[in-house]
Amino acid sequence: MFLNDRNKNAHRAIKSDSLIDILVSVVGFMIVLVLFTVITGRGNQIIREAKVTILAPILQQSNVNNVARVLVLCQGRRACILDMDAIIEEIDKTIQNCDRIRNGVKEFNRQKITKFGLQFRIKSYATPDSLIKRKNPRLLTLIISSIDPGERLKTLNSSESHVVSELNSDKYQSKWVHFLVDKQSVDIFRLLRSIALERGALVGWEPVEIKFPMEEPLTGVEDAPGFNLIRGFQQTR
Amino acid sequence: MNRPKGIWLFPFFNIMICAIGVLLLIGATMVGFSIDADGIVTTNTVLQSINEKNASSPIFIEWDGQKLVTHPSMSVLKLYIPHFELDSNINIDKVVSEIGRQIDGSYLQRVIKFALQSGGQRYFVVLVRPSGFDNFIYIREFILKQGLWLGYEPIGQYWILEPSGKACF
Repeated sequence: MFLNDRNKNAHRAIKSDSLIDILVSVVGFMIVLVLFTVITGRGNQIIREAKVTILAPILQQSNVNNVARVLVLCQGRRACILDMDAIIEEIDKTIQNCDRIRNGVKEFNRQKITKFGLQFRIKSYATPDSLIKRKNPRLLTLIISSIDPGERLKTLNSSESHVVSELNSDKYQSKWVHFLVDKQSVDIFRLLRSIALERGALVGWEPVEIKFPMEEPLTGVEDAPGFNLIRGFQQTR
Repeated sequence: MNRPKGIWLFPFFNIMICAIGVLLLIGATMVGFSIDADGIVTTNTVLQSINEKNASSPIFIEWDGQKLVTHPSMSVLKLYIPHFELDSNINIDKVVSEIGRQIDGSYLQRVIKFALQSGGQRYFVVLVRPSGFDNFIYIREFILKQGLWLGYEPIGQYWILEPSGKACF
């Protein structure tokens, strides 16, 4: 008798209707939120019957050595410019202003030159010959590290983009602009290439994934992974 | 002794709601990441040659990392490309000769012969899907080794290409 009364009291005390209401509403709201995310995500990306014109370029391998070249790295859905010629010029200038190559290297590294989120420094090695002959020629390797991965598509589409304003400048008019594109950055490449083509640049691209820090021996021959795959620019007009 | 009258379920429901909320949030995040920027695009792409200076017309080939599709006949040739580190030309040459062996006797080989005999009137444009980025270098080198003019363009992974032009045969 006593136990029965207690159970009745306990039963009477549980009033979870409102809690269940809240629970169901929250779950329902979250399901709607997930469905909304999926539907809007798909809606933004499915483009049916859109006509995309594909360029039919021809690879030009002749006289590429006579054209000044700038690399645009389209990596991880971001873009940055790598002007190797400008950096090498800077290195030359710094080393020439110093009495010894070793001091020039130290001076260059002290400056911590950073352009478009890429930082440059030099490693200097004594070659085995130099150790024997005691003449001290050095083998220089440029090390490129990524400090800032570059500009996203959103930034590139805005007026704040340094990459776009750089590509829009007159100095790229007759330059060879070569894009190193990874799997994720095809849309960025297409956007930047159209800008470069509008400026009258010679454009090429390579499907290459760059890994930082990147080492490029300063021997006149481009040996770094990715760089050695560059064939030439592609003529499109 | 004072015993509580009834069972207070609020903490239990609270924990349950939190758990469900976290699960849903994880689900939504996973769905968000699975929708790749290029993942669901089904653009119907028209292949069009824009090459004002050049009078020759392109033959489009599609490369997705595993098969070469020749347009507009849509002839498919599956290729197995062994993986080598791209550290020297020796490896490239080895793979290029392996591609040559696999292409031997195929429709594509006939198209290559046709392009070579055209006296520079036809050239190849390889449309590279992101899945084919890793080993495209070998396809490029193979075509260049044949003595053909070549261009290459990246396309979206799921773009549907509309065949255009006339088949070579």
